[in-house]
Amino acid sequence: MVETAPSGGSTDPTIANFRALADAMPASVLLMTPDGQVEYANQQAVAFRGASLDEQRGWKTAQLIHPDELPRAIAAWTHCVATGDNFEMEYRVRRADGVYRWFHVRGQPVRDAAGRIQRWCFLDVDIDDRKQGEAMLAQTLAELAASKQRLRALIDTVPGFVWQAAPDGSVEFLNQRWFDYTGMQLEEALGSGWTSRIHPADTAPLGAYWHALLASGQPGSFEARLRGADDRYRWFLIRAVPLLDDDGQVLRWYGQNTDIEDRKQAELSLARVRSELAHVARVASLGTLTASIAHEVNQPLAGIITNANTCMRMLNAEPPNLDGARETVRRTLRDGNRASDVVKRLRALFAKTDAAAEPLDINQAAREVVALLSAELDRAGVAVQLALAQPLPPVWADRVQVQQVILNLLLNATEAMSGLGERPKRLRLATAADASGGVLLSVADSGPGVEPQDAERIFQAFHTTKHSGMGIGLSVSRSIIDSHGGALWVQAAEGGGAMFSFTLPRGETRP
Amino acid sequence: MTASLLVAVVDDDESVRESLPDLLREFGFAVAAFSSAADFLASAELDRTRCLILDIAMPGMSGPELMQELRRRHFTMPLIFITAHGSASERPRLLAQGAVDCLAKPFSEAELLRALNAALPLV
Repeated sequence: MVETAPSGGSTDPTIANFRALADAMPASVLLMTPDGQVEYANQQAVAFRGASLDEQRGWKTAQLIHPDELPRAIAAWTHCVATGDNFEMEYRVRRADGVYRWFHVRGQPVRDAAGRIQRWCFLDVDIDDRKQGEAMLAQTLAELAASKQRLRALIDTVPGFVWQAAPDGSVEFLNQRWFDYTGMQLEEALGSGWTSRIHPADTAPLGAYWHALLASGQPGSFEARLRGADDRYRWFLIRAVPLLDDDGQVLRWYGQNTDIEDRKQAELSLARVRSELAHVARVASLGTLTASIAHEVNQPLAGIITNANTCMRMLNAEPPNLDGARETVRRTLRDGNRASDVVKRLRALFAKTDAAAEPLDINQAAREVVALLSAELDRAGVAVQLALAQPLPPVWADRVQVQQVILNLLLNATEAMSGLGERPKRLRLATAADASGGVLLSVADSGPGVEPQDAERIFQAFHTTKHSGMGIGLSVSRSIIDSHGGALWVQAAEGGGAMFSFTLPRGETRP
Repeated sequence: MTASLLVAVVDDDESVRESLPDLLREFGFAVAAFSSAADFLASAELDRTRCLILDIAMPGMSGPELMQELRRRHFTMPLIFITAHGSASERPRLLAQGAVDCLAKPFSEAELLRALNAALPLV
């Protein structure tokens, strides 16, 4: 491009053209002698460096290069001057105001027809903005890498398993804790491999739940047992949350499994304690009820012995009073059966049974209890009305315990009406679905009712308003219903009398 | 024993009201049975009753309350309490108040006779 050596005061139009052209370039243009001394600088170079051409001649520009890059620059330039190789380097050059800016500097020798270097032509392009951008990018990348590392460290140290799955549910990532716990290898666990560690009893329900979540795109959680490397199972709460795009489509699932073994064990021992407690409560109530139990049994026993004595006397008479004896024997049998019924009833009530929850048809349970008590109810002159709603959702409950409660309520109602004399003794047992999706059972009587101030006290242990009879502990009944997640209360029945009601939550909820 | 002596039985338990009078009749007494203290107090047999066998725990007026009421009305017939609640705790108090005996159900014929003999020593 430059055919003749430009010099300071040249009037050669070619030289003038070159200068105009070089000055118009958005870069510093420098020409150097074959031995590497500056002999020309365009206006940008002059303006940037704040030094006139004269001030830049020779090797003076070297001191403008940043000290960090200067030794390399000198070495490279010395090499190029010696060999004629092209010069190319990035270094910082000090601006007039002292600020260093990055330049991409390229130098190329201009040779004559014989191939001898006539001069060097340099183009210094300011790349400081790009460098800054690169530096920022590098810094951002470094920070990103660091935070990724921190995140990974965090994920690996979270006290639980952290995982990520594709929208179809196949697992793409599991944190280190998973592998520590299961002893699995990465390849084994990915996809659906991890499911081999679910307890056999939990596999189907968890699978069904997971597929329902995948279909709905809703977050959810499930409790299941997972097998560890030691072949033992521990309970985990498995939580899954979808990451959605703007259209609400699942991009990815994120999940965390928390070890809840200790909580589960506590719950189990709590259930055991509760079962023990219920039994203790029943036994304690048994203690307080001994008097009424004795009363209940002693009445027929008194009848039996008295009738037997009478019978003996009638048979020993001359002549024997056979009709009288027959009547006393009939009464003896009747009273014997009555005593036997009391014992049977007690055995059913106070037998220690572990709570065994099962889906329970409350209507069926109620009908069975009423059948069991029909003789007793007849004897007491109680007219029973059943109002059982159909259909009712099954409730998750212990059949024996719930039937004990129903039995208690029926006996209490019967007892409450014992003083009515000739007035009608009406007992109404009703069932219905309750608002929360469970069931409600109520027993209403036509007795004197419960005084408002007694409405809570009657549920306390050792409290009885009765003088005689089987005051079966309402406190025990309440503790049974409580343990099922239900409620037991008393209110005034329509037309007077008391109405005891209890609720039981619906079948899906395990107590 | 004299057939004309009237023993009254007051008990809310039907089987006692059926069985005890039959045995007492076998002993030779005339018997009247009542299911409540109120029925007894209202009956024509009240004045003729020479001995009263009464339950402790009854709906309405209890046995001890009936005793108080009879004392208040100056009736002095001997009283034999019977109870299905076990007599141990009630017995000393009732005896101190003048009851002849307090029998725990079920009681034997011998116990009953002993109490009746104590109540009606001249019989």
